[in-house]
Amino acid sequence: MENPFEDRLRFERRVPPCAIVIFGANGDLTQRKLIPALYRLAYERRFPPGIAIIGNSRTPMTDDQFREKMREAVQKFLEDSPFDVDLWNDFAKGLFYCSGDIGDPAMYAGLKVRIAQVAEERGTAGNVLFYLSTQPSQYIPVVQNLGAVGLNNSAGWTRIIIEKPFGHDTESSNVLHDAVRQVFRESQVYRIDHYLGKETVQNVLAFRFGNGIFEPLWNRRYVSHVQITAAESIGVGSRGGYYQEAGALRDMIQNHLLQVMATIAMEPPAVFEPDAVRDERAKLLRSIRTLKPEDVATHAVAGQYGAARVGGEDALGFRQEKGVDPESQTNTYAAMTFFVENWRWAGVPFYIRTGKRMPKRVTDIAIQFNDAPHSVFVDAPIMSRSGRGPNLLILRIQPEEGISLRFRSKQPGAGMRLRPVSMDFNYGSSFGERSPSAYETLLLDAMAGDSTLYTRQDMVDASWKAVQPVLDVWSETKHHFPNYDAGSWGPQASEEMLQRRGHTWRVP
Amino acid sequence: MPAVQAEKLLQQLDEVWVSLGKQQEEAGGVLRACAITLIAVVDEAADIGETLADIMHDNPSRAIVIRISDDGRPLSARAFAQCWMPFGRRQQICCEQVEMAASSASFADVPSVLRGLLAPDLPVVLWVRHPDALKLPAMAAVMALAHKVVVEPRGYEDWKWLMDEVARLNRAGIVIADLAWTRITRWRDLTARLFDAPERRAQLAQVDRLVIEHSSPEPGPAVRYMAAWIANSLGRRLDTRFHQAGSTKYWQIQSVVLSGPSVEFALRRTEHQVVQMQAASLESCTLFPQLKEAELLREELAILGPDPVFQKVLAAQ
Repeated sequence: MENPFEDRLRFERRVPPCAIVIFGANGDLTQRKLIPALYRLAYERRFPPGIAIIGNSRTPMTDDQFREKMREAVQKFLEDSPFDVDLWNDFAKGLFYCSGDIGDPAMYAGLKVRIAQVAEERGTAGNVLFYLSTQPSQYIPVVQNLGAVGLNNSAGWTRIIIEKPFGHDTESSNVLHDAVRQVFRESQVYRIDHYLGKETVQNVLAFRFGNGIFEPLWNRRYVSHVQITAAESIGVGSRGGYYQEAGALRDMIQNHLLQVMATIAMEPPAVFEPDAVRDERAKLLRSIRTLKPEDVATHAVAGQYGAARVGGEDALGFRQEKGVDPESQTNTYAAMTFFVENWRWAGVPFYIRTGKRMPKRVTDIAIQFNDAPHSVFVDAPIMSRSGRGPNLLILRIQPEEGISLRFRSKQPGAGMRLRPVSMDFNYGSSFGERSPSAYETLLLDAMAGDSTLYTRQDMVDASWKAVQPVLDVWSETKHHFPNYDAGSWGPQASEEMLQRRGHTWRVP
Repeated sequence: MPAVQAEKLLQQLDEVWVSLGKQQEEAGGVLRACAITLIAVVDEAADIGETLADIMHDNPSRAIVIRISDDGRPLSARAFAQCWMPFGRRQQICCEQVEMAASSASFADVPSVLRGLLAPDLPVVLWVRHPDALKLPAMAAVMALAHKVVVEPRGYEDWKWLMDEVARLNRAGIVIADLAWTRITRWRDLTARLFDAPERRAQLAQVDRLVIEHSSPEPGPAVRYMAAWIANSLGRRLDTRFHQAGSTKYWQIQSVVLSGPSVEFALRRTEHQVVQMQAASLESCTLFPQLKEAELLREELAILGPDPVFQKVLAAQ
């Protein structure tokens, strides 16, 4: 029997009651992102009554101490919303804590009892969502222990969210997958890539498949090349230790940016349903040409920032950052040229770059269209001095979300002088309402059983396959780091990578 | 030559844009934004500046405000732009606004001017904040220009007539919204939440009584819509009672209680803008901050087509 009061036009999508079990509840991600996102969902009336959150970490705490700690976190990290005491008090009734070492099998027996008690008390109907917000090295022990006590199944549904990184390379990704699949079915596993939860990445799907006018241009015949840029102005800060092990290629390109590229380049799904969308993303990722070792030098560039003056201040080089080896070979910048081997994209380069300590924080996708075959305007050559044709479509993901289309227009006055102009759609000014954070979107999706914006194992496999040859070659290479100044757009070799095909990086 | 010409107003708007562009040249000009034409029919003294400014952020529009007075004045109009600087940005965003003043008599001249003023190819929403205007003969021609008509009964003494008029317009095929209906979305949403759990849904068959408490001497449109919606959703009539509880400036629902021989499901407004949900083992609270007019309009502007649930409620009136 359906709810007779349902009104899909007016009411926000609702999710069933459930218990959310967060491993690593004392950690940074939980306090900065997860709990504020969950509180915000409660504030927006997106939760059913009876939702429960059970935190786990090694630190001994009572339920009340945990609630107090989470209250402080929400007050500190909540963005765009007021903190309401009445609502918090109600929300906090659903917060519980279960301390224990996640490596200790006995802890899981206690957790199982606690989940059952909470289910009884809060009416969660046996639905459980596990969230692995721990060190990646703990993923496998947690999953195995959950399986050992039968927490991989319940009277309702059981799902598990795994944070990236999904392995350190192809091999470790497979090891993780094997361990997970022995305990959970693929349909229970939600691999989170918060980039896909960003409103503007979702808007790429709306832009491509909700409009008929762009699709005919979306192919090798009209597109010269695609540039995806994800730049950060800050350095590694306190993440030096972690970052040293990961590097820009693993931290950004292998997961976030290849997912963005897949969203840009995938074929239209037949329906907007989780598996249909993910099938197309996976197919695209599998179509990426695998580099031969000898091609790595011409298709990939590693960089590391060095000390420089930025904005009147001395910025540290990566090797001077806290927790970083003074001889570190870690890339803080990575750029790659990818090719997609299918009929739509054959021969079209997809340039992806990401880096720390760049001139500004920006993420965007630029689709450079081919030049007109012949210029009828003698004094206005098609190509500009930068080597770029006039038509450029820019999908801005952050910070100023929106879409710009650049084209040429006649400059007012006598004669036929042309100049580029930009037609802008600004997401913020057209839809001024607050966008949910990526974690709000993704948590709600997982509770609703919607995995459209989550990564599937075959997508993870294909992404690792696309970058593994580069990782292999770079691990054997002694890089001459640092090779770019903090506050610059990256190493010269990156420009040269594009110049080989007559292209240049745009300045976002 | 008519005193007010659409073309002249559009020309004034063009001049406004040129002037704004020059003033803001260093910041890269201003961003001209328009997603709908919003026609607001208000009384002469209405202060809707803040509401329009709020709406512009979500629904940048060409706003055409028509102020109606009883003094027999001829139609007059002026054009200008409203701008704001989004936080952290250098470029202002600006929306167009045309302000018209008309008397009940000169309102007859409004439709012909409006036809030339609508932003091309974009939806047109008519917001009737001065319900007496619905009685003006030329209003039918204005409504014919709109994709959707939104009425505001709050503070309107003849609200029973207005409810009938809304139902009549619905029958006539006009896409009509009533902000009294919009005001109860949260109450309806919470009612639905009470029955999300299958075990509580199973108890619905036992419900035979509905009590709605309200804060006005008479149960106003919101209370009546709420009762009609519950009966419609359940597909049966309940023993329905309305009680006054407390007193506020405008109608306000204070509680909704569905009950039967051995069940009770309640939503009760408490202090601090909080509503409590109560059922057998369930107790939960939700924030009900005071909704501003702009928030209600925002909800309606997000639904430009018909609202089938509201249409059913109107049809059952």
